[in-house]
Parts: sequence; C-alpha cells; structure tokens
Amino acid sequence: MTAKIEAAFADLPLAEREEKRRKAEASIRLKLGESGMMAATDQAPRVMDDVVVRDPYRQGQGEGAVLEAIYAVNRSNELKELSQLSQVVAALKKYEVYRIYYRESDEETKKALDMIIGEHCHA
Amino acid sequence: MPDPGPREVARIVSLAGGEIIGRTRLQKVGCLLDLVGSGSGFEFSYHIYGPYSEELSIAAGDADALDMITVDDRVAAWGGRYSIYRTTMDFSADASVKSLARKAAQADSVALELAVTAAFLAANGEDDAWDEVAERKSAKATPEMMSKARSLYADFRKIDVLGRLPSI
Repeated sequence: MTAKIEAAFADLPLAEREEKRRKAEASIRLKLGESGMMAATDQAPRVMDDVVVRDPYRQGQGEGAVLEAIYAVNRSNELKELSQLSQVVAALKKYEVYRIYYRESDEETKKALDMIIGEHCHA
Repeated sequence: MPDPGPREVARIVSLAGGEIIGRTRLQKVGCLLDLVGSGSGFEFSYHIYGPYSEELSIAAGDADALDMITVDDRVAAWGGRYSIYRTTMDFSADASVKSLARKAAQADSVALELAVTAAFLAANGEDDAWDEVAERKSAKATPEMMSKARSLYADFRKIDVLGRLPSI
C-alpha cells in the first residue's frame, strides 16, 4: 500500500509526499475500519491490514533498530560512529510500510478496495 | 463495535485534559481507562514498558495525520526524544473518568508506568502484581519509586469510577 501511495505522489517534494502519504494511509485505514470488510465475525475477514516498521540502523539515541550504533576507527585513528563516516549510513532511517491483504479471487473486495484507495491517491 | 481508530486516541487525550506528554504516558492512560471499563477498545499486551497497544500507537499517528490531535516531537535535555499529544476535541465522559485520566496524565511517568503495569498484571491474573512488577522492571522499581507507584495507585482507587481497579 505504502509503495502504491508513494508512487501516486512521486512528483511531489519529499516533505509534501510524506505528509500526503501519512494522510492517505490514515484515511484508508479509517475507511477500511468503517467499511466492515475487516470485521471478523463468524467468517474470516475479507480484508486484513498491518503496519511493519523497518529500522535498519540506530544513530545516537533510539530504540528497536536492527543494528545498534557501530563505531569504527577512521584513517586519522579516531573512533567514529558509522553514520559520521558514511553518507549512506547517515541516510538510513526508520520507515513504516502499510500492507493490505485480500483474496486474489475476491473480485468484489478488490473493486471496493480499489475505490477506497483511489479516492486517497490523488496528488 | 468497530475497531478503535484515530478518534479514540483524541478521546483519550481529551479526557486527560487535552494534553499528554510522552508516548509511554499515552499508552498508560489508554490502558488505565480500559482497566476501569472506560476504554476505547484498544487491545493491550505486555511490552518493554508494560501494557502496550500497537493499535493505539498506529491510531495516534493517524489522528495526527487527520488533524484530530497534534503531535509535537521534542528532544529532551539528555538527548532522548519525546512527543506531546494535544487535542481541542471534546468528548463527554463521567467527571470521575476525566479526573482519573487527568491524574494519570500529570503523574510521574515512571510511577505511572509501574502502577499501571501492576494493575494490568493483576487484571490478567497475576496474584502478586507488585512483586512481579519489581522483578520485571528491576532497573526502575527502586524502593522509592515503588512507594510512589503504590501511592499513586491508591489515589487512582480513591476515584469513584464505575469499574473499580483491582485491589493489589
């Protein structure tokens, strides 16, 4: 879902795209909750969703990252935290991915989902 | 009952007086309201900082994105980050429930964490919740802090809400 929304807003500047993505995801989650498609009564829900957090590297303070802060000695023999030595590592940041699941054979649900998602994927 | 969402987060913040400082405090106020039967339907399970709801955490981000609350991210003097949750939305509730939520929101964060964790464990069948808290949170559960937490919990129990907190 996150990838689809980001693609829809790909032409926007980064900060604006991030703001639009957050709003779109929140609105879609709200609509899905209200739609009843995620309700688990005596049958399995037609739709399920989740949010996964990807946090590749911890710079300074933080928690839950895959890798804690790593220190290395530079050419001047100084001990430095890795993000101070590498722009690539410095650019690593925590991000969240919103995912929606439905049965591929369930055309009616797919259509309803496409409508909800489509409403919120306009730049 | 539909799944709880951003509106329910705004309700928690509103009942607490319109402002809650800290993610952990938001979680604990939410859990406390749940324990007295005035919750919003978020499911809590035991986590690093005691009872925690992933749903509540996601819904808080959504509430911010949808302008139901504002989240002001700050950096503390010691370098850690914390968030201030605010809302101007108003929700009706018993005065006692509001009083409980406000007291929790204004309490020392560690004492609140210990007290709500003890209540959560007791409500989930733990016979000696305070001992269990002391064991699980040995770094925070100093004698002084445990005393503060017990005192805070006693104050919570004095508030006459419909669903009473467990006696521990």
